[in-house]
Order: sequence, then structure tokens, then C-alpha cells
Amino acid sequence: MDALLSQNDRMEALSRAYVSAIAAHAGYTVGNAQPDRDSVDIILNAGGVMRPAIGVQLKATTTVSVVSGEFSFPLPVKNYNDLRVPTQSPRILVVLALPGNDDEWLTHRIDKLIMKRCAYWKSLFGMPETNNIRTVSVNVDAAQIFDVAALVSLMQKSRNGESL
Amino acid sequence: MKAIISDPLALRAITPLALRGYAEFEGWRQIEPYGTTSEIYNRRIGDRFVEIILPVTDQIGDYSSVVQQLISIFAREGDRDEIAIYRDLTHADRDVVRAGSPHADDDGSIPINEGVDLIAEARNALASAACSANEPQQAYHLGKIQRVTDYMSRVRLGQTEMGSFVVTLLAPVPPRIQPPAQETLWPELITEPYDRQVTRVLANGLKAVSGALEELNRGKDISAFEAVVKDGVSANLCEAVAAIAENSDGVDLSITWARTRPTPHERSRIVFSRKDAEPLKEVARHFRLREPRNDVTVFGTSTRLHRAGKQTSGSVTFTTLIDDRPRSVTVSLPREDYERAVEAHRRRQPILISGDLVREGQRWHLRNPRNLAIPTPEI
Repeated sequence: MDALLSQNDRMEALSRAYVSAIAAHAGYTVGNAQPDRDSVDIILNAGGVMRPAIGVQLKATTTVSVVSGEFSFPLPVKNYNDLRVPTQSPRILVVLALPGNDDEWLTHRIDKLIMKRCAYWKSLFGMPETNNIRTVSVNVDAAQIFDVAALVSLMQKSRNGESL
Repeated sequence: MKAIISDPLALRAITPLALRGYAEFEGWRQIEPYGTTSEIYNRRIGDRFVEIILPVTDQIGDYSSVVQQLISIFAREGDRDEIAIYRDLTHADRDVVRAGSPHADDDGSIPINEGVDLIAEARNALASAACSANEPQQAYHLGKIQRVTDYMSRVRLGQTEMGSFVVTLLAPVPPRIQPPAQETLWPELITEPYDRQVTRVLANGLKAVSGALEELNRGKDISAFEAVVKDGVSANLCEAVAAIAENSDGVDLSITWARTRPTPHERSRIVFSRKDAEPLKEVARHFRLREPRNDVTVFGTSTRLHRAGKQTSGSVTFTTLIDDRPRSVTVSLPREDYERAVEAHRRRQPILISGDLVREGQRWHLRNPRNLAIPTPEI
């Protein structure tokens, strides 16, 4: 079968689709990355000219292993540094956990569309500097599921200028 | 074609102060803080209130994005293109001096020599104002006043502007940190920082030149210009304006004041025509002839000595080069120096002496003589 995207590209595209779906269901718009391009893949806006807005770094993985309520994700150092610095619009990391078998990533029938597993979010604001060269293992709270309720709450904080 | 500014470096060149200065000038009002890095502003536009968020620091990860958003909002709400907004923002914390040649081709180009001259003379006009702001005089030797040299080193040459060929000089000015006593009045010049004094003196000087030219046309003489030396008129300013007006067939000179240090008027503008060049050159010539050249050292051989009666001091006339031409200069010396000059004259030795060179009529005099030296010939 013809395919333009690599495995990783497919996973990233699905994470974009996931976040876009959650945002649409919450009533928010999805915009493209801005000139900084510093680890922000998409911008979620909730109707105001400049606020509230949340920048999102999208990742996907098939190897989530929750231990003691969290899992570790290897984040490239550049993304780590870009996401931990102060910004006017807050930024978060969203990691889409996918099944190991890619046949199970997305199924659709006439009566339903199913994307398996879910995404988790994490704010890296204020995290310490690192001397790592390639990746930093960030611990993601398995309770921080990126769903409509979470997004609405995050957007409210963004509206008020609060840290996420 | 609608252009969008997207280069991060270009966007980062706009300072938070410039953003605030521009926004407040355009009527946006500060409302409340937003987080720890920004402030919320709003403005009534028609029947709606529009909100923006201005960063108070450029040390945020999304600074370029924020600036781009703001440019887009300013352009949309002001019904202007983003290039013009960007230009205004890069200029918001500068006094912008513009010298325009009316003779650009349709593509905005002019002959290269005319362009080079326009830039040089615009610089000279600003430098002359810097000299006048330091100390008003009829003429200056540019490059000799350290304060002026330091100031000019901070002036930037901006992008030329479309439409006609317009040279822009971006003059530094500190932001206003205290509201003025009255928004509608100019503060006293002496209370302004030197950087702002320079551009105000330039504006005042150009206006005074224009007024003095009118007086000349009514039959007044050089005194019309002498009366406004205190306002910033000098041989240097007259020469610069004359050169631009002559080379460019007229000139439009303006100063747009920095929005970070607001003024009662947004802009000062004076237009000169080509026919103003000749009288201005003549004024400059007069000023240069009569203006003392302070703190010069001259070297020459005495040709005449004179001491009247039993006076202890005497005058010495010697020949020296002034502007590469041999001239006679007369100096009054106290007794001891006069006697040394007499001895040098007897030995046919030249003298070296410092002072202030002044032309009175056709004669040169050295005032405030000091440091007389008789160089000994090398064996």
C-alpha cells in the first residue's frame, strides 16, 4: 500500500488530530505555529484576540508504562528547554499514548470512530536546567489526561495569566 | 500585496518599550497585569473594546510570536499595512529625522551621487544641531566636540522609504519616565536630556532658518541669522540645507518624535526650495569668516613687533597658514612672552603659540594666547 508518512510521522499526525478533536469538542480553534517555532506545533485559542491561548508541543509514543501513577517520556533537550522558559501564552507538552499494534490506532465504522488510548499533558514551566545533550526524561502524571475538561480548565488559567 | 513580517530576528528587534510607546500613542490604555511578564491593554474601536497583551520583557520564549500578533492587530485595527506598522515600531523609541528628495524615479531610486550627498548632508545637519545643543555658535569644526562625536556614534541610518527617496536618521532618545506638567506644552529645553535637546534644536534651527530667509527677502541683512544662532542656526546647518536643496532641487526635512517620549506635536516639518541654497551658502560663508576658532595652535615667523612706549606688553604679527593659505596674524603678548618673541625674531626663529583665532574684518587676531614656545632647530 502506498504511504507518504513514516511510522513516526503517522503518530505525530494522529496526535495533532487528537488534540484538534478535543479542542473542537471544547469549542476552541486550532492555529498554526508562530515564528518562534520553539517547540510549539499548534496553538489553541478560545476566542479572544490574544488570550486565552495555549501552545502545544505534540508527541506520540507506543511505549507508555505507568509506574506509581506516572510514566517517563524522553523529550529532546531542545523541546525541554523551550517548554520550561517563561512565555506570554502558556505552553504544554501533550503525549499521545498509542497501542503497540498500529492496526489498533484508528478504527472506524459507520456508527463510530475510535482512536485508541489517550493523550496526557504536562507543563514544564520552571523546570530546572539540564546538562543532558540529547534527551531529558520527563515524568508525566498519568492523571493528567488531555481531555475536554482538562483543556477547559487549562484555558481558564491561561485567560487569567496563571501558570499551568 | 499584503506583506506579513515573520522573521524572528526582525521581530525581536522591536523592544517592549517601543510596543508600549506605540500602543499608548495610538490610544490603547493599560488595564491590568497579565501573569508576571505582560500587561493587558484595551481600546475602544467603534462600538467594541479590543484587548491586546503587551510583554514587559523580551525574555520570554514566544516574544517573536507575540510581536507578530501585535503587528497584525495594530495593522488590522489601524487599517494600515504591516510593513508600515513594523517601521513605526522600530522607530517608536527614536526621534526620526527624514530628508526627502522629491526627484526619485518611479522605482524610488535616485542617482547614486545625489543619494550619497543626501545622506552625508542629513548627517551634517543633525551633527550641527548636536553642536548647537552643546553650545550655540555661528560655526563649528565637526569632530572636535567629544559630546557630539559620542552622540553621533549612536545615531543609526534607517531604511530609505518608498514614494520618493527619503533618508532616515534614527536618533536615540531616552524614554519618558515621568509625566510632564502639561501634555500640550513643550518642556523647557534645558530640562530635556541632551539627546532630545539635539533633535529639538534641529527642528528649531530649521524653522529659524526658514524664518530668517523670509526676513532676508524683506530686506533684512545677516543680522536676521545672527539673531537665531541661539536657536540652533549655524554655518554648518546652513551649508547642509543648502547642499541638499541644491543637489536635490529642494528638500523636505522633518522630525517625527519618539512615541516613547511623547511631544505636543507628532511631527515637525520644513521645506526648502532650490533657490534657498545660494543665500544660505552666503550666510554660512559670513559665519565662518567671523567665528573664532577656539583652542588652535599656530606656527609661524614674526614679521612685525610693536610695543607702544613703556608698556610692558606688545603685539607680534607673524605669518602662518590658515586654511592652507598664508595669513598674517596679530597677537598681544605680556611682557615676558613678548620679549621671548623679540628674541626669536632676532634669531629668525619661528614661534609656536596657542589661542583662539578670530577674524575681524580682513585681519586675523589670536585671542587668549598661551603656551608660547620657540622650537629649537634640530642639529
